Amino acid sequence: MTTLDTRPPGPGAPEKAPLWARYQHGHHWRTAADEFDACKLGFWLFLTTEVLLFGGIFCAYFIFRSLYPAAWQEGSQSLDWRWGGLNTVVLLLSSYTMAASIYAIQTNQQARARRNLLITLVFGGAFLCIKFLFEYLPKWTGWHFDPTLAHGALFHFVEGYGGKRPGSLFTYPFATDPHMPLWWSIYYCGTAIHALHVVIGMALIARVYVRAGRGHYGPSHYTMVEMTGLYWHLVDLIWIFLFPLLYLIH
Amino acid sequence: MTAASLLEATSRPLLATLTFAQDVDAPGLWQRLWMGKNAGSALGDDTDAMYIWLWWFCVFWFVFLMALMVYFVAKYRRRPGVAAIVSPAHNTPLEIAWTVIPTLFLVYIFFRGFQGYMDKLVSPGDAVEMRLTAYKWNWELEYPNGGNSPATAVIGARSVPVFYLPAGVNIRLRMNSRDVMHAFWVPAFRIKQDIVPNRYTALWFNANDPSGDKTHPLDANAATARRLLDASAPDFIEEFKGVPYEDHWVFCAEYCGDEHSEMAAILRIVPEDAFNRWLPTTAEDPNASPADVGRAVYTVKGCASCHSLDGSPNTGPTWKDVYGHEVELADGSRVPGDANYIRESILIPGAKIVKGYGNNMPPFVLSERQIDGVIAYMRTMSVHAGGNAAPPATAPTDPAAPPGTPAPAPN
Amino acid sequence: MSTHDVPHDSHDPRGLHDAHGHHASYLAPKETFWATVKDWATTVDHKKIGVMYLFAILFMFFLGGAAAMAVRLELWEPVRVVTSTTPSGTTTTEVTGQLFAADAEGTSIGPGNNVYNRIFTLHGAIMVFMVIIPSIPASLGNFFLPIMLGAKDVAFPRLNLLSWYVYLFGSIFAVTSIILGGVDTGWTFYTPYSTTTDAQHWRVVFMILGAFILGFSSILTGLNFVVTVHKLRAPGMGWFDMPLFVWAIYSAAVIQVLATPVIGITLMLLVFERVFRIGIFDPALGGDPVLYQHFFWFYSHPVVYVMILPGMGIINETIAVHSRKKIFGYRAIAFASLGIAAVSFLVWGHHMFTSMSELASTVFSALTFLVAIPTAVKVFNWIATLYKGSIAMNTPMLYTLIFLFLFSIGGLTGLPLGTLSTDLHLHDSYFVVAHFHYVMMGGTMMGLMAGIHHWWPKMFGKMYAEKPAMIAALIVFVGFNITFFSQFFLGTQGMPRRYASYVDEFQFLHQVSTVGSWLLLLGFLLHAGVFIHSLTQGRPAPQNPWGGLTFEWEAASPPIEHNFEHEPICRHGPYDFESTVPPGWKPEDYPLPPATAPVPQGVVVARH
Repeated sequence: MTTLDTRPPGPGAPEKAPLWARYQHGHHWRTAADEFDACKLGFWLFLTTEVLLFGGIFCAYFIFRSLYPAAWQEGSQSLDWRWGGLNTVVLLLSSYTMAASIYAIQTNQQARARRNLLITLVFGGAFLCIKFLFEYLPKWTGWHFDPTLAHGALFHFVEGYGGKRPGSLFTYPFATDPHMPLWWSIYYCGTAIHALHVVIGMALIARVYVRAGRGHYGPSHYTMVEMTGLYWHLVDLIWIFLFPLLYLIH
Repeated sequence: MTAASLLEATSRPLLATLTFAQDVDAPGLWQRLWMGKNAGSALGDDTDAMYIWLWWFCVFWFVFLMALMVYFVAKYRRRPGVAAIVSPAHNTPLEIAWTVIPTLFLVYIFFRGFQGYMDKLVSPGDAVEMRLTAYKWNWELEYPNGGNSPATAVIGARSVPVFYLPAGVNIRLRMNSRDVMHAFWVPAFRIKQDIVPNRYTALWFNANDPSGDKTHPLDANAATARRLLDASAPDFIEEFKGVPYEDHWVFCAEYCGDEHSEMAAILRIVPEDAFNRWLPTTAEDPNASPADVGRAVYTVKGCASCHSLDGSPNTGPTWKDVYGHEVELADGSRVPGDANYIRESILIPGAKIVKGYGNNMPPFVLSERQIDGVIAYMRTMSVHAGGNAAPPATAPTDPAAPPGTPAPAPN
Repeated sequence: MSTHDVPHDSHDPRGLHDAHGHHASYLAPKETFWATVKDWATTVDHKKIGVMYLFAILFMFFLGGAAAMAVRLELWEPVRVVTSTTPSGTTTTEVTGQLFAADAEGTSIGPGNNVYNRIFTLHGAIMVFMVIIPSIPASLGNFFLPIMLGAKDVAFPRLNLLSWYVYLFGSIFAVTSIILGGVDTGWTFYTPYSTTTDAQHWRVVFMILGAFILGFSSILTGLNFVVTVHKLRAPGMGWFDMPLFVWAIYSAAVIQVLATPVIGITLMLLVFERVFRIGIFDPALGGDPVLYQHFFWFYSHPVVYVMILPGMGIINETIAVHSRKKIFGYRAIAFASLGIAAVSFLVWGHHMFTSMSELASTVFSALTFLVAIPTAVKVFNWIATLYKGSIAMNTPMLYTLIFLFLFSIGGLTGLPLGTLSTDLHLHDSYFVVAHFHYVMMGGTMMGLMAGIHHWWPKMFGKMYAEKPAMIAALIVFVGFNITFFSQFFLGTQGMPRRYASYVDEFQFLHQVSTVGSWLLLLGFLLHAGVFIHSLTQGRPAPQNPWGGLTFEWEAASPPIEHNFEHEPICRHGPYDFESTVPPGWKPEDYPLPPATAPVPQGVVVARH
């Protein structure tokens, strides 16, 4: 077809065969293997563009780090490496479950694949929750989230903690270095753009999960699962670089 | 003989040859065609030599290639029924030659350019340093004694500052911007440098002596080309009347907003001895009255480029009838135009925007004495001063002028 | 018909003969008007997408051109403030020479200048982001890259459609900004001016977001092309059997994929800086405005090679076909294209000689000269191709010669700009304006015009009127030189760029340049007339009017929906004019040189 083709795969295979077995590759390709290889090449090119996108932020990080080392030291000390470390573990586990789901599809273990996709989604959500509730919210506003209700309520305010905001919004009263707002700008830009990519990754995983439920993916056709997996691994990889640069190096 | 002196020794004769000049110091045909006139500095002429050399280099190869192209198109035009003559689609020696030879030329051009660049950029150790500040949309030059050049000229659309500078002296400008990116370009010296808000950048030059100015007999505009204002203009400083001088334009060369094209200045090059005699008079006079201080600030700090004294509208509100009157702001409120208002408008101009005007004024750093002076000066321009209007200072008033007009600013 | 001997049977690995029997021209309308609209709106056919891009780009070109005409009109005379005193003693001041005064009373120059500043920003932003960057790749590249490779479509047809809609969406953002009043930052958005000017944020933000979105369109198109070239070549077509147009598009696509993300992050940071004042480019908060320039030019320099490489690619095709001569130095041109793409990433600092350290400037100047060499080699190769050719004089060939003339001037004038000592004088002057118009307009746009005329019969199945088109080309050529050559002199004499007004001594040259712009307009209007006439009344085009040898000439004019009746097999080189009768030609109509023997029927020429 030369217009968007939304019809289900055409005839040719027995009706009882699952959707993935009846998949017809794009007719401008010689074989489905060609199409899959091309998709992989294309997706790696796209991942390169994502790396270059974050490269700009890393570049800014290193330039300002060399200009204002005191601010960088103070900034990374005000981050709690335990939350960052927890997030790192969460993402690493989610990458494992993502890879496991691809393997499951390749061996036609549909239920296992779906389970792993769901766990990956949950881990992604956990990452975002930890980031927002335990890192962004307290730093920006001073409101801490405590599910143990140790202070009587879910949220409690800590005086003099908040105000760690980027650029001209910076109001933290105890900063000793005048270039702290810049550090926070880099921190928020890097982690927020990364979080945006986590959300995009989760959307892709959710779509694959739904379509896997309908039987679209199997041993002979799992392109979209593989691409989603690659994307998720990249999201993980970017975090592996962000984490030590922001949290660990003093 | 250093590379720099070798360059200098050969550039002028080379330039004269390449530009078909009849006299090694006068601009030749091609220099006049391309640059308008010869440069105002020796290093500027060196740059012209490089440029004109490049011009002939490009002309030679361009004409050669285009002639070949046109010749081939004509000679090998399609004839019906006749096939193209078989010829090889490779010729390794030729391809190597036309890769290596341009490379060698380009390496040579790079080194010549690099030498000229280092000469123009690295200032001599004995250079006299002056401070240049750029802001939207004017310039401020501060001499080593802290004084400023008080002259302005009205050309075309606005008033531009005139900076008197000595010839034959290595002058280094330490430059900085108060707001956005600007760039200081003196076409006559063939130098330019960006001016950045968060750091100092520098530029140096050594202007040719104006009394040595030789003009080509065919250059009809030569007599006036370098005198952008003549000695009879009202802003011309008394001490320099009768002294040879040469004017060079300064243009802002980095886009900076509405009046980027009006952000010009004039460098007036005068003989060194005349300049040295005059320079002490620019230092701040501890005995000047506040209104006189204010009048000087009005000129040298660039207020004149945006604020009129006679009520006519300009980029900023007029100074006439501000002190002691009510000022209507953009948000509709009315505030008294008192000393506090004037002070705030200088230090934090964005705090109160007058109705009908934009938020375009950068903050100015003035001393307390200068701020007092501006307030006193503005009092002299108010009809209802709400107090005793300070009498206009030393310059005589014109008896024929209608009452209420300010006295002409002294030079 | 072609000499391929793929049998008509069920063994049809690429599905050319599907059950729907698509043998109609791709331009054939559907049953109803709305069905046709829907077909075009949801098409994944690279040809339709290419045609839609072509008309959008030409439309944007006229829009940007209108802004340019306004710019040149404003510069007809300098702005002067004239103060006159009436006999009764009242003085009046008025501003003269300002065409677009926004000030109601007309006594202050700032508002009128502001209108001019917004117009030149508009001209730059439209021309760079909406015209020149997509120009050849999105239109002619989309149409002909798959066909030249013998493919049915690009690697990712749906992604191609997405690219097109993203281009539209991004353009809408930019147009919204214009409707809201436009921005006056210049297309380069230098900080701190762009982050502090204009209290109404949204105009600046919309324009920046428009450019950001257009970047995605560029990335997706580039990605598509790279994979297509790697994966969809016809059987028998190795890398060195591809037409050089494909090499050019491929090299440009590689740059698009690698460079565009950097402008993406830069523009994103710029929006954050503008809206949230994060301080990364703001000196008051410790940031660095020159850092912005580095980020910006890290993309914007490679992108000028995205602009010119496809133009050069077209020249390869037109010069070979219309001289009936094999391109001289095929491999040199192929490797030069890749080499230019690679070195283009190393020279961005030459836009910033006046704001960098001496060391950085020196390194960048040296590297800039390096990138000049493969470019010069290409020009020599083209002129050598003309030698002993059989050169037809028609509009594509005329535009090819115009390209060589104008691009050579543009390239040579890059030398004083790359040379450090002269650049200190010429940077940010009209010399730079003239230089980049010579390479971008005199290069890419003339290449586009050559390509449009060369492939017009193939794309639309109609011939255009040759003589009026050639006259239009000559008018464009003369008008272009008058408009822009005068600007070289303006630059060396001291005229800065982005000026709404100027000192009196520059007036004559400005007026010359403005008159040239009127000629340019006339030339392009004439071209538009020729195009419209061709589409409505042009005579039908044969399959191969020029005698080309690349695969598009084996397809019908216009091609059928699936491009080819049978999958083409690569049996000869793209420029083997000395030994191959072009597809669609009878041997008796095509003169072959006597010294060569034609390739016998049925022999597959070994490749790889």
